[in-house]
Amino acid sequence: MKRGRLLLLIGLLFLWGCEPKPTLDKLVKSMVVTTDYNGNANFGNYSTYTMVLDTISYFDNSDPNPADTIATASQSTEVHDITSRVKAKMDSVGYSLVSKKSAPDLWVYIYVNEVYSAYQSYSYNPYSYGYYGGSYYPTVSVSDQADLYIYILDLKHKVSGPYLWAADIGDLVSSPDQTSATVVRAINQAFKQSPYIKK
Amino acid sequence: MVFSIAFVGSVKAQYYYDRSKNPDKIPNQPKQTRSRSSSSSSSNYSKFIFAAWDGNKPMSNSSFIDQSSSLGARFGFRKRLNDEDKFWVGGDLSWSVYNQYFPYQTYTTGTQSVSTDLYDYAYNYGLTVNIDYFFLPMEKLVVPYAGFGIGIAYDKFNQYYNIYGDTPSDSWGLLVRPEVGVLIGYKQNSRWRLKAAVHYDYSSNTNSTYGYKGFTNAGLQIGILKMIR
Repeated sequence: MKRGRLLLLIGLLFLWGCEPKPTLDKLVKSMVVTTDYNGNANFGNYSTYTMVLDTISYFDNSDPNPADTIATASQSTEVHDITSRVKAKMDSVGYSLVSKKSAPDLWVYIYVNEVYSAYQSYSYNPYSYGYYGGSYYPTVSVSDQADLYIYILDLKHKVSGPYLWAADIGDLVSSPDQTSATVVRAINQAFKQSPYIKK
Repeated sequence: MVFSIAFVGSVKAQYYYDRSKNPDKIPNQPKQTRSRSSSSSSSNYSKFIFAAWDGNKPMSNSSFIDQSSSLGARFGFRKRLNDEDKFWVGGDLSWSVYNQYFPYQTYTTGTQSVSTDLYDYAYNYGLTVNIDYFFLPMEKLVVPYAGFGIGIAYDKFNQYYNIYGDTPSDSWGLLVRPEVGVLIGYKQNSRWRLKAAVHYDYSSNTNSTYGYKGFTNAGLQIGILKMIR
């Protein structure tokens, strides 16, 4: 009977940690694309839009220079890939790109928000050297995550609400893609699941 | 006179009996016999332990996970309840992992749409008190049985998508498990045996996030069993 109880205890301890999860390479091969639109908007009421093609806003809480809030195409080829893809999609649904001085109907605003966080905690090891026969040791957990946001804003104030359309694409940091292919695919998906965006 | 004749006769009869086997044998010496159970079975095992692989098919809330699981195990022990070789009682510890992958697709609710692929996971743990009834004596080569277990179940559910994932939600509940199976030895009264069984589990665990109002599954168990004296 004792052997049986011991067997169950060993089995319980062994199995308690056996909770397999999907591996990171499987999880990050595609990005999550979330979109939302203003239900009162009629996208057919707009004709022109403006956007910056060589720069996107970039907010990074770990950047030592808080005034550095942009990423330019000269710094990164991904900036050009992102802006040119968004422009191509807007053009394909019938909108025309104009300068901001030409009183456009819409403003397409693109930015990246990167959040880096580190959390430190202390764990107790009763077997390590210490005054009372044990000591505490620090453990640090780090997470770094970045999302791409695309907003279509109404410059004519034809409808109320903070935006006409918004897209959230992530995660940019963990993507194994060294090129822009994955994020470009995600931008395509954002417009694909938003068929109401058309003149 | 009659008594003396009977007495002499009995002495001669006793001598005759002993001589056929051992003329020098001291009369009335107890015969050395192997102690046996008073039951009809000649098996002298009173306990067994086992470890088994456990495959399961979920039968509740198929929209979350519908796929069968081959990732499962069961450990247990039994002790013979009394001198009869019929009822054996003990406990089981079980573990199963269910998972299902949903390819990249778009989910729309109102004005919001989300495109992603999903990994749904359910982790099940069970601890039961069991009683088994063996239809044949344990010394037989093949011994069918029927059993019933009752105890507690702990379930944990999670959904993973990209680096994001829901906070795991868990629940406790009552677990009941009827089972029929068979023990197969390699010889009569063998110490090591194969254990095979089918079982049906019902646990009262609920999970409002993923739509569970109880967790049921059917399974097949195949493992190795060791008889213990």
